[in-house]
Amino acid sequence: MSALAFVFFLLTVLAVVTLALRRRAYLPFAIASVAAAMIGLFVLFAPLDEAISLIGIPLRLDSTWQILGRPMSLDPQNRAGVGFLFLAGALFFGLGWAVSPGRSFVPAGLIALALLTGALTIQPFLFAAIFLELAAMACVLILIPPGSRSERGVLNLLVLYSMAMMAILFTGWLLENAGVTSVTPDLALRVILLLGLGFVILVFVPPFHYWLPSIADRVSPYSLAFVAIILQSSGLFFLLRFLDNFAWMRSDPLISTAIEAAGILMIIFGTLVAVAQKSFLKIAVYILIADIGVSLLAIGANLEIGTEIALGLTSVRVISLALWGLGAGLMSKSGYLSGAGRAAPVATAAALIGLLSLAGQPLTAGFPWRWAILDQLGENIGIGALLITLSMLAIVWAVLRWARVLYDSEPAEDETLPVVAGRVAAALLVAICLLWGIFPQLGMPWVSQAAVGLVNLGP
Amino acid sequence: MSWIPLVLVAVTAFALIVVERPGLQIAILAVQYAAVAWLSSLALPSQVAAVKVVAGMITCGVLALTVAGSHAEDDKGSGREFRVIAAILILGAAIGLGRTNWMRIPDIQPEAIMAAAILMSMGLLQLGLFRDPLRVCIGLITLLNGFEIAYAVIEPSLAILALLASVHIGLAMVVSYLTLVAQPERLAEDGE
Repeated sequence: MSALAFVFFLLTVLAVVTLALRRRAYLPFAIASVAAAMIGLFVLFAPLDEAISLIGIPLRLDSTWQILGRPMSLDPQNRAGVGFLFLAGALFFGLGWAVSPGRSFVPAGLIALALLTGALTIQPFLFAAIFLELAAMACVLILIPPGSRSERGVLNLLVLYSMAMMAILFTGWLLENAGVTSVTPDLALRVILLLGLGFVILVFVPPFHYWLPSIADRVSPYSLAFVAIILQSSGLFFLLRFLDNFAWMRSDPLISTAIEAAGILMIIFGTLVAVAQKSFLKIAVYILIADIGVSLLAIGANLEIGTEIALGLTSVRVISLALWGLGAGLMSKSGYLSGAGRAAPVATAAALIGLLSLAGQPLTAGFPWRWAILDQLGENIGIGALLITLSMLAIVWAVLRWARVLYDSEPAEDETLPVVAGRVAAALLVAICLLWGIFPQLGMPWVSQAAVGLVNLGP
Repeated sequence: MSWIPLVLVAVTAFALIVVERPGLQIAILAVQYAAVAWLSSLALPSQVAAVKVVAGMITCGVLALTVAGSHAEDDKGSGREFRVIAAILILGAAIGLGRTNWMRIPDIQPEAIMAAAILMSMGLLQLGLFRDPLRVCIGLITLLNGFEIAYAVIEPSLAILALLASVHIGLAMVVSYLTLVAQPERLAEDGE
């Protein structure tokens, strides 16, 4: 039996079941969360391509699945990425009932996870671009649940991902058939430009991030956080796989410089706009952009453990964004302006701590990996370390300013308080975020497994 | 004979920018799909290229049902005169670009590279001119059709053809969802 066929079969059944149960308040979220967690653990730890015995039944789980003549394969390079997506999904599905992100959230979320699994496992991996485009379509259903207002921003998402798909598919052909290496500079430059266009879209490099702020205050923040984390993480895993597979790319200084420059641009842009931001929902988008910039800087700066840092930042981003999404989603009933902090203190605190964690502030989940990159960059103090430090300081100031606005005045009389269960969920996630900040080794097994799969990117 | 689908591609791409009635746009899109399949058959076996027609007809069917079920007004974008002038200018530029093998694809027919240039340019123009989901979808499909004519030459596998066909059908279904199930942007604005 193929492990992937089993996963896809399970996801299909789950999508149908949760679609049928979409009007129920808690059940689809609970089913999807437990199932996604089990699939994630199965992908990460199941013994593949060896005979095993399950309750006395001899069984062999194949890592490869042939479909339409193309193999899909779970290998050390992608297992950690696929497992990560499902564990992130389990967290978001598990907490989703507290904020009611819409009836389509669970079924469309499962479909998106299935398509992203396809993207990370298809061989040759260049065809992943088509699955990413299909996943972006599923994300539209997550962002715009039935009855919600249709937004131009989601069409922009489709347009951008279509362009990324075309650029990456064409690059794939150049790489596989036209014999591109570092000794064919003309072809290599074409590949870099086309591939660059594809990846700046997939990892939300400005100005190709514009679909995010355009819908940030129009859709559920929880749905937006989920979509941002699964799409961006998949894009980052895809980028790392490219670098791992092509030696000339790893050795070309133009590519590492371009990635580093994109990271620096994102840190500067994200920080400046976050500080100047007048919308509480959009500020998270720009802090996220600055955070992704730090990941790109870690990859492009040729650090000894740059890949591990980028993967570590990605892993804690899930907690930070889930916390922000949950807090902001619960706050939505109280509005996002003066008095919201008093009407919904736990939810507001959760959203603010999520933002601080996303910005890598001390004592939060995001901090240890920021500390790691500062430590690595600090060996020869450069613009990168300085920018990260300034960015962290500027964002903490911006978040504290928002905290003052949110907590400083009395709430309006007609404001509705979030349900108790929602507050408990938010408090629990705050505790996890703080615990992760104090014990960063909790995420290390996954980072190690992911880094081991990328054999050529190691120190 | 391969100039016939090339002319059809140019005429349909132009018409999709100028025509305002949604039903007529979908009929034109169906003709464009047939022309694209014809051009793809220069590089692919006819039976394989027919997959594009089938996928195209399913896409057009979904869009036609969407138009029939929606009560939205036509998206005229900018004024018709402006669109005609813009379309003529872009078409001229695309023809200029398509006279050379601008994508540097080996063994591609001149008609195919010209059609790819025309469709991709006109698709981008549509994306710039309109904001209605249906017209954005048609613009994206035009852009993808242009890309696929060229891509069929370098990657003629059935699996990729099927995946790309699923992208077309998926786009149509998402737009149908946004138009029929979600609340259209224009209606929401009226209600505020």
